[in-house]
Amino acid sequence: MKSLLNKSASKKKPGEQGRRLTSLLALDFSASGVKAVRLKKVKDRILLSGADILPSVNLEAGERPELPKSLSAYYTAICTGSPEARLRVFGHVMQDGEKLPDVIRENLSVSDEYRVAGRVLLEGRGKRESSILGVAFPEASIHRCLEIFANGAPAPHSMELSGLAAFSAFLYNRGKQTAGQTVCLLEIGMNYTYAAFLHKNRLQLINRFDVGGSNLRKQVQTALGVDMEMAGSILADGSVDVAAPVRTALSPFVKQLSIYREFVERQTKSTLSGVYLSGGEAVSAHWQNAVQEVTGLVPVVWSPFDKLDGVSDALPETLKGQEPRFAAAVGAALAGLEAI
Amino acid sequence: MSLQVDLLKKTERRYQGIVSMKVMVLGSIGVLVGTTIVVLSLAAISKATQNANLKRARREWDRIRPIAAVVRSNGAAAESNRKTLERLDLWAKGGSVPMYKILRETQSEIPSMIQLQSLRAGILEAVDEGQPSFYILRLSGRALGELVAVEGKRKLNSNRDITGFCGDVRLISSGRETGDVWAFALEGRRSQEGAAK
Repeated sequence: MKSLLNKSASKKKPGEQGRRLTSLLALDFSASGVKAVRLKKVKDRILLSGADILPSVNLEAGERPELPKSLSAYYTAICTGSPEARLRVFGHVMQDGEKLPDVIRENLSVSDEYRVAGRVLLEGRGKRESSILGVAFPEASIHRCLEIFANGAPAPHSMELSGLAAFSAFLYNRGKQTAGQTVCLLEIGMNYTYAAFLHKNRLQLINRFDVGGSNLRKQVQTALGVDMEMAGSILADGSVDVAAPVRTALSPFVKQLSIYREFVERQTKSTLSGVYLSGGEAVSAHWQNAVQEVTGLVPVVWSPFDKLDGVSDALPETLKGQEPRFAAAVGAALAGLEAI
Repeated sequence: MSLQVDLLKKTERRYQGIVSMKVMVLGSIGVLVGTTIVVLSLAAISKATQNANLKRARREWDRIRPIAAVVRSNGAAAESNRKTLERLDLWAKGGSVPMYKILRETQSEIPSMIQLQSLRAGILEAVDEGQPSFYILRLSGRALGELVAVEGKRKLNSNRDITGFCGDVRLISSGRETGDVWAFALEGRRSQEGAAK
C-alpha cells in the first residue's frame, strides 16, 4: 500500500522531465469568463506576475482565449468543468495488483467514454479501506480542449476540475489555520458549486452541484418577470426582497449541504468550525446568508492571493474585490509549480 | 497538500520551449536570407576589387608594353649571340683550326687534275632536335682519270688539320662522265659532340 501512495504522489508532472517550471499560467474556464493567473516561483516565494479576467469562450466549440502579452507563458494549467464530470471521495480496500484507474472507474460507475484519474487521500493498512479521490471527465471534452492548445504557446501542462483547484489554493493559503479543524469549503460559480468537507486538512467528502449564480438569476427572473440582466442587478444591489426565490433556488443545495455536514461530523467525531467561500458568487450576500442559515457559522470569503507576493503590482485595480474568483486558477498554478 | 487530479496523460503533454517552431522557422529563413545577402555583398566587393586590380594591371601593361617588346627582341638577339658563342666554344674545344686554314689546306691537297664544282666546309646543323650537328667538308667535281679522286681523298686524309676538322674523308660517289673524265663526290663529317669530348 505504501507503494500506492508513493506512486500517486511521485507521479511526474508535465514539464518535469528534465527541469521544473518556474513560471506557469493558469486558465480557469467558466461561464462568467476566463480567469487567468500567472505565477512565478522565485526560490521559496511565489510571485503573482499577472492576473486578468478575459471574455468567456466556448471550449466545446473550440474557441481559444486571446491572451494579452502580459499573460504570455510557455505552459498553462487548465481548470474547467463539465456537466458530465463526476468526482467523489470513496473508500476501497486495495487488492494486490489492483490498478487505481480501474478502481476509480468502478466506483464512479463510468464507461470508457470517460477518462478517470484520482489520488489516494489516506492509505488503508492491511484490510482497512483507503480513502480515494476519484474524478471522471468526458474523453471528448479533454480532446477538444487539447485541440485548442495543440499549437504554439502556451502548451497544456495540466487539466483539472476548477473546484479541486480552488480547494488546493485554500490549503496553500489557509491550511495552517485549519490544520486541526473540520471545515466546509464552497467554490460557488455561475453554473456549478463545489462543496468539500475537510477534517484536519484531509478531504472527507466532495461533490459538485449544478447550482450557481445563474440559477438564482433565473429564479428571480421567473419570480419577478424581469430579464436576466435586471435579475442580476436586483440580486447584486438588494433593493428588492428576493428571499423567497433565492430560497427556492438554493433549497436542494442547502438541504444536501446539511446532510453532508451531519455525515462528516459523525464520521470524524468532530464539529464543523468554519465555512470558507470562494468563486464568483462568494461575495453574494444571498449565498452567504443561505450558508450561514444551514451551518450556523458566519462564512469567511477568502482570497487566494493572501500568501502570494507581488499582488498589489500584478492585480489590476479593476479586479480588486474580486479576488475569490481567482481561487481555481491560483490553485492550478500552485499545483503546477509544485508549491503545494 | 494539493488536491490536484490531473486529467492529462503524459503523451498529451507537448514541449513548448523558449523558441517556438514559428520563431525557429522564421529565424532559419532570416539566417538564410542574411547569409545570402552577406555572401552576395562579399562577392560584389570581391568583384569590384578584382576589376579595379585588372584595370590597374592593364594600365601598367600598356605603360610597359613598348619596353617589353624591346626586351623581348633583345632577348632573341641575346639568344642568337649565346648560340654563336656556344658554337664558337665548341669549335674551340673541338681543337679545330680556323676555317681559312682548312680551306687553304684543302686547296693545297687537291690534285691538279681535279676540277671542283662545289665545296662546302662548315657545320651541318641537325634537322631534328636531339640529333647531333656535324663539321662537314664536302667536295664534288670532275677528275681527269679514274683514280684521281681516290688520290685526292688520300691526300686530304693525310692532312691532320683536315682530318682534325672533319674526320676521315670518304669517296661517296664516283662515275665516268665522258672518256677519261670522272664525276666524283668526297665527304668528311664529324659530330660536334664527339669533337667536344
